[in-house]
Amino acid sequence: MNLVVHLVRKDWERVRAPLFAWYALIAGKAWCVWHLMRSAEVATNLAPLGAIVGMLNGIEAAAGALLAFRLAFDDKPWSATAFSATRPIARRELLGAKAAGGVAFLIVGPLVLLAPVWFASGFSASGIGVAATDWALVQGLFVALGLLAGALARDPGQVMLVMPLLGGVLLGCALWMPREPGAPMWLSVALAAVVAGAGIVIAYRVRRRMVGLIVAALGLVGVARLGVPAIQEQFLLPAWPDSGRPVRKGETRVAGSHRWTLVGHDYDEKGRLVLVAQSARPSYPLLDTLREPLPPGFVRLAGSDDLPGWRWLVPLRQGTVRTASLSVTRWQLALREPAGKREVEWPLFANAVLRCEANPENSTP
Amino acid sequence: MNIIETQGLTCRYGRHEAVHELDLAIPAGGVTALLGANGAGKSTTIKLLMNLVAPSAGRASVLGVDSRRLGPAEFRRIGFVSESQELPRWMTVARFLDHCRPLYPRWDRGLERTLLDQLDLPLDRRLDQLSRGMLMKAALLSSLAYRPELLVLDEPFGGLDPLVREEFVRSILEVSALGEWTVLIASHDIEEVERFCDRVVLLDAGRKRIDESTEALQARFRRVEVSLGDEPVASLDLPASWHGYERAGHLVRFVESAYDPIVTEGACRARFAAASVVAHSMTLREIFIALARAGRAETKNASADVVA
Repeated sequence: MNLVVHLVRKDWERVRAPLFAWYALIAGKAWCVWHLMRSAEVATNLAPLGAIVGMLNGIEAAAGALLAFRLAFDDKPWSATAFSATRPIARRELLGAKAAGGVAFLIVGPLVLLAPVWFASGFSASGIGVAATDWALVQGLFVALGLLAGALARDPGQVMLVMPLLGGVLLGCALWMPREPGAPMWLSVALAAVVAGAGIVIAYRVRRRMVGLIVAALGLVGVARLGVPAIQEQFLLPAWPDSGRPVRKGETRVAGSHRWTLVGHDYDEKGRLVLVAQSARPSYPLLDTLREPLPPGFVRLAGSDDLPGWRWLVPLRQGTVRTASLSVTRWQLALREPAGKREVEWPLFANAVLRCEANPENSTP
Repeated sequence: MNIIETQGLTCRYGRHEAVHELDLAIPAGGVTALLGANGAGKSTTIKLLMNLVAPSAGRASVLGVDSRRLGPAEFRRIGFVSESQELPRWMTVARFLDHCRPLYPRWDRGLERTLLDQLDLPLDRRLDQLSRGMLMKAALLSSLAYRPELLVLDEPFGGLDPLVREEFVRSILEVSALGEWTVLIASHDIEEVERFCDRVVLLDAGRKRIDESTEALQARFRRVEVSLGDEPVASLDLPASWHGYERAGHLVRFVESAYDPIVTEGACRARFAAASVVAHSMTLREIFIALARAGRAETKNASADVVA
């Protein structure tokens, strides 16, 4: 049997229990987002969910890095006491096994889990490709950092001590040497992953911990020097394709990789008609391709009284949940309702209207 | 053919010299013991030979290959057991053997079964549930089942209680009989090693003090006791081969490191005319202690000379 495959199998046995727990976390989050996307519950506010899911996202990334750390730490390439050091295992085979295990268990495995969620969310092949690239880049960086730490550290305590220190130094460098505009996020992430990969290769090939650490630290400082880009998130409502008919509740419009859904309408505590719309898309922040022109006749500014018959009062975001490389954002738009009508029509887009029942309190006979 | 050779092998950790210009020539076959006190440089020598540490100077060859170039091909012919070696403790003994088997094309399942019987290892127990002695036995099994040409044991008795140590030594003795292995064992447990080693290399502060067969060593070392009469001592000019000279009343004791019945007795008679001389054979442990004391005395004298 190929020795690399043999070592990957051994590593699989070693990490499979925590790996399955990690997969469950990823799948659970993905299912929640998918469920949210399909939910027609107007009152569902994503803002409080965002904080919880953000925390789970952090746990997911950190757990991936820890699993990668465990993979590498079991067979430290520089160690004189490691089992592999005096066994017929070439360091390049060991490196190959760790890299293959890291990619297979920690990147490909989760992608296989997530692809059906993206598919069920109605995204095109290109949208799924974008989501997969986005997820693989971010997770790949964490996996590479975990493998690097596992390949260089003497013990886990050292990682706990050095990593925050190194992270602080990198953040300090990024803030101290800001560059405007910052490099695209995908470039920063990809470069950082390459630097971590170089450190891993040095650790395995040269067996010099300090050389690997210095190369990785200097490289990461260089990446931090590129600047931390601000991620612009724009959630724009695309033009409605089917003009001349009312937009119905729950109706979905797919434009490119966007899915825009009218969740429904309701009335707020002041009796104003509130439109809840939802935008969902594969996560794009790494590629930053979201800048689209505003749809014609669509005014996003608050207090635009000059339009006859209606205005946007407050485009209020109800929150974004970003997980499994899928972003779901809900907007609550409060509209002024003409009094005395049973049914009102709002020109939601230049080419489509929203028809909804008037607030009974406003309907004076 | 020498299975291990070193020339001027030196290893420095910062300013500390752990091994100093070590020249070794260990022939194939038999058991060679690398002895010395803690910090004598035994484990560092083993690490240098196994390419776990790079030498600061000099060179070593193992199985005819420069130690810096030892790779998978050579490690298929070397068995290595060390008290500090990290084993995959999450595995059961059976899984551990499954893991090791594909690494060695010459893995002998029959020998594996024999060793399992002799070492009395429970296949279904995880390595982290085994006692230290059992763990060392598992490591020994995994290093012997492919019939290595060279078996290197680094402090294999560390942390073992006397009973387990006895079992482990018996295991080594039994498995030694199963094949034609060259064994290099580094230990400070001289009494254990004495039972099966053919050759002794004694290290002290990184320097080689002794490198010869156990038989020759024990033949040339004697603890000599001289019972004196009432006559005055003729001369106290002691030969260089007398170590640890002591006189208590009518009794003189010393260790002779170049024992020859006629020459030693003659040297005694020349100094103590009417004395009766008795020479006792010595164990390796006694020889080691005598040499260590002599070494310390030399160092002290050298320091005193420098101060003077």
